[in-house]
Amino acid sequence: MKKYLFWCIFMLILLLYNSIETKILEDIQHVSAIGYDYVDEHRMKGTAAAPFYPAGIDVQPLDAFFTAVGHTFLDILQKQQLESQRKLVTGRLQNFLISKELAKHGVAELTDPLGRSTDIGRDVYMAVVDGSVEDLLTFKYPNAPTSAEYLSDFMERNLKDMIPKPTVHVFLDQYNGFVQDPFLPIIEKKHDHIRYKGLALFKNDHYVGELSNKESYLFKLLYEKTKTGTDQFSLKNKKYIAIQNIRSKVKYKVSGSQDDPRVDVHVSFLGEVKDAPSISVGKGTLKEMEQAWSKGATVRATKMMNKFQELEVDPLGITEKARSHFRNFDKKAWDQRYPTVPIKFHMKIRITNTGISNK
Amino acid sequence: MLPLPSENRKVSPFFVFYLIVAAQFGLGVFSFQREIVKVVGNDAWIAVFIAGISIHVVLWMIYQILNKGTNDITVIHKELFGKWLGGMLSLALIVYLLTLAISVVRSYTELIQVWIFPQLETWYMALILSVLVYVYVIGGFRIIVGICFLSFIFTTPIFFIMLGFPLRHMQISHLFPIFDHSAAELLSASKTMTYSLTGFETIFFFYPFIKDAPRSQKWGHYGTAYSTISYLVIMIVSLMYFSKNQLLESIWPTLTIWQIADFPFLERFEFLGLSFWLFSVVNSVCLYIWAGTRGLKQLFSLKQKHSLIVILFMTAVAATFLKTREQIDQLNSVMGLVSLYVMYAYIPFIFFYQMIKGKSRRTS
Repeated sequence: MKKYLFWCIFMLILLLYNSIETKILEDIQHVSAIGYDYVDEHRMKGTAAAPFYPAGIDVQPLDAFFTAVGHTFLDILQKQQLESQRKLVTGRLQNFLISKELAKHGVAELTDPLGRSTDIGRDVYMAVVDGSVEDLLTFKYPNAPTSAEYLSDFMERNLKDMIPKPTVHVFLDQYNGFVQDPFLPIIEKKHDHIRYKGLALFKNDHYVGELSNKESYLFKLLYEKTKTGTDQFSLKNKKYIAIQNIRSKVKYKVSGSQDDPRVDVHVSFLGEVKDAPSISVGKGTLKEMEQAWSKGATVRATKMMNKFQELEVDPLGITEKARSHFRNFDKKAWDQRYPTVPIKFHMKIRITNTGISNK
Repeated sequence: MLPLPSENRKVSPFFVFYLIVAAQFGLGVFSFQREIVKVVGNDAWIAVFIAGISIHVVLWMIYQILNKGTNDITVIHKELFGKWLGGMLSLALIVYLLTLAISVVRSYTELIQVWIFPQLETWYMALILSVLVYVYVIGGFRIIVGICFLSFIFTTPIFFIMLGFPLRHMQISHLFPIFDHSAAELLSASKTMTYSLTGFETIFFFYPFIKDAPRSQKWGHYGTAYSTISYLVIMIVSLMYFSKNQLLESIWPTLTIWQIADFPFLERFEFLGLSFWLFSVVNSVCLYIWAGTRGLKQLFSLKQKHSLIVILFMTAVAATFLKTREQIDQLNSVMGLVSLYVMYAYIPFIFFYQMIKGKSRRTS
């Protein structure tokens, strides 16, 4: 008898317990992109794109945006909540945008909840927006049902071929880790499209400079091994040639002592000629092409590196390579030395074929 | 003293593997990295390795003690130290295991509260866990073995599949330079590892329940090796996946690693993984509580059914009283220290004491 009483009470407790807030899919609205503009030193303007799916079969989602000015991520979300028809949740957030103006003033406060909250995943894509985030998010683009969908397709399917993956995890890791500076893609709204503009370089959490989109492909080659993208270069006679990347690898070699370090960067690139108008491709010309590319790429890479060293930023993670090479690594001394460390690039290319034509 | 359990209440020697893994491979896998990385940074995996080796030595000692005593630890204590002192030692060991159970229950509840349901109240979770544990423990030792086996089957594949997702973000350079820290630092870091690997002392109590028990030693070592290697793999993956500061900042790095996983049908994997971990939690709590009540039965001839209800009630109440992160952290660090002493002071002491006593008896 006692036993039955216990189990009855237990079942009642199980069934009647309702202090947990439920989140039923039909009753919530997913924020799929969120972006922040600079207002003044303490405040920013947040825009959340939360497409609304009306009831019914085969309905098109409606674009819905909520804008609010506030001090922190959560503060702004609370204010956006005041306008939305359902509860806004960030569990399926896919894109996180920051305006360039805001990035110049530092993003540490804004990115803190990304690392702290369990409501946001770690594979959210991040980008810096040149111009107003609100304009970019709220514009009705002709090539996608909602702007949020366009943006997430653009970031996830397209941009990853051109630059290293800009996820929240990578950003936080680079920003927190003491051995590398973060970078993010810059996008802008041009006419009625979203366009990739280049890479934003950060020093700690402040935007300090950028790379153009052409340079940023070279950056990807120097940053990680890749299998995507094309690179264009010119021969002496001003003829332009495009090569497609089959695979490229990069290797950093740190040598010397901690007081007198030197870094060699070896890139090996396996390419395929895709576009070579008015050039007869023979054995000799292939050699010439290879030489022209390595020479050009080395010059471009060195120039890029000089820029990094002038700005004292380290998006390539050379400090990390030095740390893993030297015992008892002295971070302070390295930071001072970083702008003057000799870094040499060795760009090697092998062109495997010239497509299906041997003209 | 109770009679030794009859043949039909015993289990085959190879089940010791699952029992040991169940005790060692629990909630520790989520959060053990930080304390070690704090001390030795990129050499943390060496500290894990050292801890694993030392645990093998401790396990060997435990088997030596039990093989000589051919009964559980309460009987051995009584033979070595007499009724009162031996009884006190047994009671201390029982209290230690029961406190471990409290700490596991509370830590798991905290995980659920932080990651999934912030509004969840501790007493509710503690109640559900207690009832679950009651249902299993009342079924006897063989049921617990079954649960340990099932939880191994459920949690292991998930765990290793999940470690595949961070692969594309890993940087091998994070591991270098190897041996950048002194031996003293490595040893002091491996100390914190013992708390994650603790719990296998329950073997002191379930030893009589193993068929042909001395032969089960190799399975015990396999189990320890399995958990050590798992911890080693997680440590290496976390070191390569996170930069050092990030690793120090996250309280549960393994769950943060899971956050990167993304299936088309499931955006956030860690919620699912965390729920699956209930198996792992229930089986270690079952094991601790069973060992505790079994010990009480040996000492005071209490009926296991009655002491079980009282102890589960006390566990739930104690867990409810721990409210903040700091309190939980404090309990865990105290238990870490205690388990360190149990492992490296108490067990070797018993081992040597028994050896000396055995020798002097033979000569006299």
